[in-house]
Amino acid sequence: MNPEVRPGKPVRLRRILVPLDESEHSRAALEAAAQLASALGAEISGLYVEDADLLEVCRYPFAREIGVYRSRRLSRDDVERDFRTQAERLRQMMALTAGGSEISWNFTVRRGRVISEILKQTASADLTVIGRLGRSLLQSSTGSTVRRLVKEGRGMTLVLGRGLRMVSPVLTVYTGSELSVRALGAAVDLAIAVGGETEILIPADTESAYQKLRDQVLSAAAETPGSEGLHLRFRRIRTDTAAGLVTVMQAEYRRPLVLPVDALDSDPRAIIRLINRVHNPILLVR
Amino acid sequence: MTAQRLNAEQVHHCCDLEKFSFQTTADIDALEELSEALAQPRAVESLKFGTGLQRYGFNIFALGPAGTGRHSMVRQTLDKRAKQAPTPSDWCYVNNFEETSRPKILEFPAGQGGTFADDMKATILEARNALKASFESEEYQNRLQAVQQEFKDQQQKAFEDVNNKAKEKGLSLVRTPNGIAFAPLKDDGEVMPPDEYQQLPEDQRREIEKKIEEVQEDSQKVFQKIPRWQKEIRQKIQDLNNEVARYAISPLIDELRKKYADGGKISAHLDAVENDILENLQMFMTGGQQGQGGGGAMAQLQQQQQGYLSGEDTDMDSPATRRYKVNLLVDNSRQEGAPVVYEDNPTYANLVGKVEHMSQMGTLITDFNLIKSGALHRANGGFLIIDARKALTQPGAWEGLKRALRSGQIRIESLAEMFSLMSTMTLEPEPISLNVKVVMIGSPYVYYVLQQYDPEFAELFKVAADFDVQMDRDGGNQDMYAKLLKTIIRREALRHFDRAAVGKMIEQSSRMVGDGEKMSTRIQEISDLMVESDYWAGQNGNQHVSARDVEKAVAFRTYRSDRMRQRIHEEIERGTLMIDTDGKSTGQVNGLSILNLGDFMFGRPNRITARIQTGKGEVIDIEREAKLSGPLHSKGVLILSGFLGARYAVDRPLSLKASLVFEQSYGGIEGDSASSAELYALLSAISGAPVNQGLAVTGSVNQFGEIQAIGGVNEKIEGFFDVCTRKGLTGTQGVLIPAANVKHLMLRKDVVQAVADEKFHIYPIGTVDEGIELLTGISAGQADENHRYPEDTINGMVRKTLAKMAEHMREFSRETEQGGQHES
Repeated sequence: MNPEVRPGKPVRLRRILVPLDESEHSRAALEAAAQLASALGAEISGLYVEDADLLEVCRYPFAREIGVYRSRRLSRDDVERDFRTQAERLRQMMALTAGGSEISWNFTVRRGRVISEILKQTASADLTVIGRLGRSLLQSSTGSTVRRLVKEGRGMTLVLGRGLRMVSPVLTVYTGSELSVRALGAAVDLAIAVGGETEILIPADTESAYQKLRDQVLSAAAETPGSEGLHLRFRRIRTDTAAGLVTVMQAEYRRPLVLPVDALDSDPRAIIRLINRVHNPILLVR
Repeated sequence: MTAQRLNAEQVHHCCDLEKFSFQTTADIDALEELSEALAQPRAVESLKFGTGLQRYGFNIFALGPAGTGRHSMVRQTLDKRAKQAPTPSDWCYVNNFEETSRPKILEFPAGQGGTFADDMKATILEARNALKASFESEEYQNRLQAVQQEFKDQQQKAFEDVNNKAKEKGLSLVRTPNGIAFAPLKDDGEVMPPDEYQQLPEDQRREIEKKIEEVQEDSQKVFQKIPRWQKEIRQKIQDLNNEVARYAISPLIDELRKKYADGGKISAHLDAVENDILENLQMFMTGGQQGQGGGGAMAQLQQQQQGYLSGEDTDMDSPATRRYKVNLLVDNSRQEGAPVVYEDNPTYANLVGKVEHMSQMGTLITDFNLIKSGALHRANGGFLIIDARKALTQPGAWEGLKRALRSGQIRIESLAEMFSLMSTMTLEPEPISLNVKVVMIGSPYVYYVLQQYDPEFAELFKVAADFDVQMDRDGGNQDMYAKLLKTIIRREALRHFDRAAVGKMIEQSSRMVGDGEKMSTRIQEISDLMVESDYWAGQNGNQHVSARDVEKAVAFRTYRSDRMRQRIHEEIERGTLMIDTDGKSTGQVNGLSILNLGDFMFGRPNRITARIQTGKGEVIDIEREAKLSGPLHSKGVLILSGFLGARYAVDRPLSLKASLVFEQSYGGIEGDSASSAELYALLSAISGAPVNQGLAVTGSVNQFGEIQAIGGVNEKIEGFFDVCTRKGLTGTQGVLIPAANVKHLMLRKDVVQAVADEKFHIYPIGTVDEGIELLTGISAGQADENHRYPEDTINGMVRKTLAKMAEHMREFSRETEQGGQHES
């Protein structure tokens, strides 16, 4: 059953923040942000943070940079120059990616502690798009910045990895909560942006509970004008939402998920575990 | 001794129509083969011999004038032979993966080359799909991820060890733009500001520095291992890819092996294809687009780690798949028997093939797919017909052909490369073994020039098929000729010819070769006359072509070309060109010459005069002195001196100086056909006997006074007849011709009629004496045992005059000697 209605509250995205470094994940985040901005008419703000801690380290007389190809005395001048070089490269990447799609964009360079500066900037953004891994050599599924952002970030956060794009259908979780209604609206907007369907995952123990939540969506859709032409699909998942989502997301390889954080009890560790276990892009709605 | 004039039957060899058993050509059959009618047994047998003998150098040169049916007969003979011969192989060029500039050649049974090319194309496209499916498979992704994870784990563990050691030592690992650095930690886990560090006691600072040096050293060791790990991971991914790819493509290549493998070059090529795909998987999967975005080793590693999923299916023209295509150079799938190829434009490239180039980014590039076959490739295993003159006039073509025949191989090399005119990249395709019989068609002149000046020609073209321009005109051949006409009628879709028209065609054919006992074998000329006759039959509303239509065609053809003849005759009539056709003159004879305009020739009379004086036995040819005569003409005049001396001056010196000239001749004279006329002029001048100007003379003479045959007798007679007709036929006019030329007479209808009406006469002459008697009306005279002639005969008068001259000469010499003594 695919009722052609538009449910949920539409989400307006005016500013998308993309914290950038030179990783492949960061490039994927920028491309996804450009895709959404182009479809939704938003502006992209690129952000590069010059690590103040590193500048402090330079002051140590014994400070050395150990790399794959060389080891050198770590001087402030060298690091400053590297920062400028990186910033310029990222600006060019942004111009190339966003400029090619005729999207409104800006690029900001700030100096400070990386996570602090990013968190500050998320306050003024509707959406923060970030690569799941930064330049950390201590590889794990998610980087420290992502973990902090999940925990402390504001607004919506889209986490995605290298080589991923926003594709149809867009999945979301509907629990009946206010947050899940917002997530549904965001999912529909994303689906429109990528030109496809929305699949609504409803955690329910019983069929009647599932039907009840499903009807809520449908009736909300019926009351929303201008929702013709949309395709909605429904699927029941386990009430152990985290496990149920892992199963669904692993099967729906690469499909994006719009996740109201209260579906996982707003538990950052649970959310990070989910991010770690699946490859899909995940949009956190707070 | 006076010569008998010829009657009408003798001056035109009529075709006896009663011997024909048909009314029109509709009643007879056409010929199966032109060679039946053309009676060219020498040429036909030579062709059969040459085509049957499969040995080095036994190629054929068909020599003969144009229009003698050389092409038709060669083609027919070769077609017949080719049908019995086996169909030759297909040839394909394929990539040489070890050395791309030297493409390899594969040989297949006829028809299998195209199938192999199609199968290879299907296999390569299928291989891409199979590889794509394999690399997209969950199994591959899992194994790839496992390999990548191994690298990540290895790297992570190493850095975690470094990180843990650092932590144990109270240090923090800090990410730098190009690596890592270490700094001391405070108790709260934050990096210690340098100012705080400076305030620490010195021994504590020294302790921290020592720890930092230790972790820096450890981390450096880890970093130094990374390139090795990357290399190992690349190798592992490569091995995995090869394993997966081989598993995917081997069954596909195996199918080709089963179908085509010969244990030789084809098998080796299939092995090479399989190995090359494996060695160039990335290019094969991505369509050859890799590397365009730049990127170093890491970028390649990342591309490998992503697998080969980005390539899209393309056709066989992509850079990745082009290298596996099969260039079907020679396709004999539709050939039955051996091929017979006629190369109309035998340029070097059209004969031996060429390597084309295409422009890419402003540079000319090429590959084995751009190798194009030549006529030798297409004719390989069969026969190649080329025109000798065309091959000889095309730069490099003749040398290229000889090189191929001599080496028994077709080696494709560009002329530009041979002459170092072009330095762009090109190929050296593997040569193809050549087994072809070449038939060159050319004129006898070209054949003899090649024989004389090209030593390789005799080695490579050992069989000459010599085509004659004429055939005997006997009863059997005339019947065959009628069938030949029927064949042409059918080929050209003409009206049928009635019996008289066939007879007229045969007579005209004899006229073409200037011989009443022969017929022309110039098919083209005959065919053209028949087409024109058919046109006039249509104009005249005739259902069949009649003799009148043929005569009209001949007359109109002459009319189209005879503007110059008319002009000359007109000027003779007006007296501009001085020719007498009646009366008598001493030392003046009407000679006859031929003007050849290429497609039309005609005869015209020339006034030949002789003047004499006492001299030392010289006969001066004014034409030669003025460099207006050729060597044959000079030879003829010199013979006259020999004749005069031998006949009249055996016992005394020939004390004569004579001059001979073609009056009003400005364009040069060649040939000796006027030598008898010149002799008559001399004899007249010496004897003082006037010559009848109503007669014209042709024929050469030898030192014994015998008249010899000449060419163009019909045109010469007609030329004088036309002039006489214009100036008025007197009934006494005529032409003296060599008796040996009587058989060549095929005179025009109006001339024949004049002969029949005794208004014009043709006299066959055997000796000078016969001729001079006819011209002067005075007996020539027979010599007695003392070489004396009766005084009232021409010879007697000549001898008498010469004796007087000798006497004058002797007296003159004596007076000169005496005068000399007085002086001394």
